[in-house]
Amino acid sequence: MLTTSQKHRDFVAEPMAEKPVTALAGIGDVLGKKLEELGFDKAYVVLGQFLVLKKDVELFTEWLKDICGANSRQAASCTQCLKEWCDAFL
Amino acid sequence: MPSFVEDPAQLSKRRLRSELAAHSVPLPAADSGKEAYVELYRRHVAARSGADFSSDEDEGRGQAGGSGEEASIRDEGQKTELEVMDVSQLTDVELKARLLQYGVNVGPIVASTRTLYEKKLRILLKPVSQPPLNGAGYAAQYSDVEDEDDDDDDDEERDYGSVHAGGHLEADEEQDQEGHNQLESRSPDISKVATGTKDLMKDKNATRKSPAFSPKPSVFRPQFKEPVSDILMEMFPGTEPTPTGISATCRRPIKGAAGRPVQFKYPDTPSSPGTKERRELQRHLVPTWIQMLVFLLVAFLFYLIFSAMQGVPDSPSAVLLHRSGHEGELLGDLSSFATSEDPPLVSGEE
Repeated sequence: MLTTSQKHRDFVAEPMAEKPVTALAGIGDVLGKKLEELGFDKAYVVLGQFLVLKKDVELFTEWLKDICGANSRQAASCTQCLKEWCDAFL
Repeated sequence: MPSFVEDPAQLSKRRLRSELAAHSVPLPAADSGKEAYVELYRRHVAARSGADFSSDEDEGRGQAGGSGEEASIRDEGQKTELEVMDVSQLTDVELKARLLQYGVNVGPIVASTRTLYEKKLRILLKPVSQPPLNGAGYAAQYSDVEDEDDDDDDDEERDYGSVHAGGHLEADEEQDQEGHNQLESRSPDISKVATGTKDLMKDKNATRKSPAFSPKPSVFRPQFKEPVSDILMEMFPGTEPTPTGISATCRRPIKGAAGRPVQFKYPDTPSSPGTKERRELQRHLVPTWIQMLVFLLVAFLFYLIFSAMQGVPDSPSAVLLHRSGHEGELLGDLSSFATSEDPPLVSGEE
């Protein structure tokens, strides 16, 4: 993504701490609920999956689409958001 | 229906016919008697009964080892069934080794990552691109309501025509193409899986709509591994390729953390060069104006004092001098009266 949303900027601006999964860019109420049902109730759990996949953008996007039914745009936003967060804080 | 080896003579003619059809045995003429069916049944079904059992076991094993994705792949693919089944039965170590052969940066293969890596290996084994396996049905149900527009969600719904009627799909094909071009231009490195089937149609539109990304659709079809680096290389020619892919964002200093002000994290967006100049000018001009004002005031004061010393007629100090002159005359008149009063007068004068 070459342009970022306000949600993206807000997330990448500070450590995620205990932010809910809906704070991630690209993850709205519907997707957030789906992820919470699967056990990914906090943003850091999703971050965990991203890290286990060795921060591979392609794999993580695919995983996200498979697991909660995100479309390409949403998955790409989330991936980009997490990637930038990692670049800043990890 | 289970293919048990029972006495076919006991089965009815209709039952025999259905059994034969199930085993894809060419049926005899409709006029032929039951004996013909029985004979065929005995010949084919009995011969196959042993084979059927073993093939059932294979299928059962395959399905237990793999996941739902495997079933869908078996429905579509023809030649790679053997490879598909192999992938699911590889151990973690073997799977990792095979992926490393293809140069994939493999992470830990745990429960959550296993299916992903299996899928990746399957894609690598099978050079022809297959239809996307992502949640096509889900796209119709879920949508992220945010500040970004939702038109792309609708476009994706129509593309995967499994949800909507075929006629509807054709009518909106042009819109889909435009919408997908927007999608492609926004997420070039990700949308390949989702839009793999439509890319051939979009070659013309891509060049018209988004010239910056025109080479991309032509590269999609052949393989999945290559386009990631090719596209990003075209977009960002100066960056070095990393094992996981080119990272388009350069490492930024840690702003916005540990109390650092957030508004300067993205300096490009809030202010244009014009506003930046204005801000800088303001910083310089404010003290300068004050300095000039103070200087003028002081200069004016100095001018007044200097003029008073020189005895300019207009100056107020001259008036004072004149009055003192008057007092001097008065003193002169009074001094003739009483010299004894001089000291007090002198003191009063002073």
